[in-house]
Amino acid sequence: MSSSPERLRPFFVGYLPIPKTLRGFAAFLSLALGLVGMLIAVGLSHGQNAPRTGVFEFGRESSLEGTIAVTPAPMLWTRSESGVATPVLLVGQWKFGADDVVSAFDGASVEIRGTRIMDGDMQLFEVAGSTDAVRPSPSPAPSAPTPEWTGGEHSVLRGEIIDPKCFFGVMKPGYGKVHKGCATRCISGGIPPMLWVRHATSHESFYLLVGPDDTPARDLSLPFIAEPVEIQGRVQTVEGAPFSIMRISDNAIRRIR
Amino acid sequence: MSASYRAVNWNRFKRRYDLAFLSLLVIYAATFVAVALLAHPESTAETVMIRTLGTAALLFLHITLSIGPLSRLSPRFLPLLYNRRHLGVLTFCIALLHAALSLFQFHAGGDVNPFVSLLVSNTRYDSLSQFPFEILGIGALLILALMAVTSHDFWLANLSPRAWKSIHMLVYPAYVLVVMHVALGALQDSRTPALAIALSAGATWLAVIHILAGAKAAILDRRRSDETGDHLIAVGEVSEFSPGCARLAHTPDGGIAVFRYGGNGEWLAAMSNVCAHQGGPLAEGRIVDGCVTCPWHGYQYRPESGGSPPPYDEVLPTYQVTLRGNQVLVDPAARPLDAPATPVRLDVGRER
Repeated sequence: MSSSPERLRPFFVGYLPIPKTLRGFAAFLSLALGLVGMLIAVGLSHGQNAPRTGVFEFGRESSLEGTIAVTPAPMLWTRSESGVATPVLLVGQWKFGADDVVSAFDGASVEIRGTRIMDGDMQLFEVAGSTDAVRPSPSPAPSAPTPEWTGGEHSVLRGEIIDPKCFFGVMKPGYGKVHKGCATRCISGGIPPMLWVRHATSHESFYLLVGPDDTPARDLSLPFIAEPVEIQGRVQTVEGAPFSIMRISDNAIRRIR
Repeated sequence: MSASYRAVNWNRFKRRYDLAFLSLLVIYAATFVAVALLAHPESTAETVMIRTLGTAALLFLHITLSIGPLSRLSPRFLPLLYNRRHLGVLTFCIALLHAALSLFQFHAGGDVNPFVSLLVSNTRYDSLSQFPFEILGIGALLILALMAVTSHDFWLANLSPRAWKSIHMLVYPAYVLVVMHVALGALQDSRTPALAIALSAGATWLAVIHILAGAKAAILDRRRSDETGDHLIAVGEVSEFSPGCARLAHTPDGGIAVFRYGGNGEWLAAMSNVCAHQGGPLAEGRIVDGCVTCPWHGYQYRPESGGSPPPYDEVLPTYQVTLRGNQVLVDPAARPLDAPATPVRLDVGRER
């Protein structure tokens, strides 16, 4: 212990003026923190997954005309000018299905007010919350019969169970583990579960999961939402529909990892 | 220092400190949102806000955790330590906003109460890949809340500095929970390496500066003061004491700070090295206005008595200093608080 006294360094006391020699360092530190903060923000923000291109026309009410089918899930069959029928899945407000709102109109030609959800060919419609959101169609034409889902080939498919309302535009992302809680609430609340199958060629396909009672297989799906699963069932299609339905029974779903 | 409790004892530096970190938050958030809108225009506003707040909370937690070791490595970082509690409270507020927005986004408007939904929507505790990451975030948020609530000096005084310190060391478990919350949540869905790089870089940075600060402390600890045959501790020669500064006598209970003070540096006195406020190292402090001043928050003690100047009432134990030739020795037995040690007067004219 024979060293000479250390040169006095500037001493900071919070309630006294900051020493001049520390001011420069404090200014440098502030600038450096700001710069590092900006760089981190750029990296993390730019590095987010690219969201799907679906659109939820929030705050913009529309109306649709068509024929309601309550089974296997609430949907509105609309017809193009060429006469091709296209199903529009109906969902309720927030995290609820549309069953209660449309069940009285099964097979009827109606006009529905609400908000459109679109992703490519897939169309959904969030029925407005007012009591008169669904009413008989003003068009004098009689309601057209809804197309039948045909086929029934036994298939084994791998994918993820999603809630279509969030997936196709309301939330981004509307899939994956982070969204699992929301998807669980949506499906528990009545939105029909769907299987999202990603193929090797960036192609994807969708299957509405339908239970033995010809209604959405909500209870069968709930334990497996947002997890990689393998599902066995019978697949049915309708020409022109952007999704198929998959009829499943108990124990049809299993985790694959 | 305060003789009574106020919500915040504002001063000029604290205002500037808080303004600087609020500015950093605004800059970070504005940059994140702007880049999200440019790079991913299809993004939804609520998702961008949740991610902005979540990543900002993570950044601010890293800054908060960096201040301690950086201050040990260089005293130039001590101004960051002075108002660290405000930064901690700000970090908690950002995390709370992230949690509230996420709760609303993912769990409100459904068929069960959002808080119930948060706890029951994912119960895959048996799986690492499907583990409910939300519960990890809740744990971290509860710890940050406890720290924010008890951050005031009222709790520091009433819980005792040791208990208060123990509570606030929980920030490390909170950090681990946050890292796991991100790793088992957003990171699992991420298809780009950005978040993984940021998370691992942050953890590496914190590990490196904590190891360096620990190594520096270990090196200083090895410089044991010399014990003499009569149990006195040799602290150094008089010429090694800078006026207004201290040298540290190492003892098992935190050390003894031996200060040289007076208009000509003609006095030597010793007191506990451990500040009564948060345990700051007084030997790294300075004599300011005739008082020993803690480098962390500026708490002051009179060197001749160990007591804070009125109206403050903190008192630290003092130790008896003696001279043996040019050698400064200190008795490691603390003097009673009501009978402080007698300072030693130096013959400054004869000093080499």
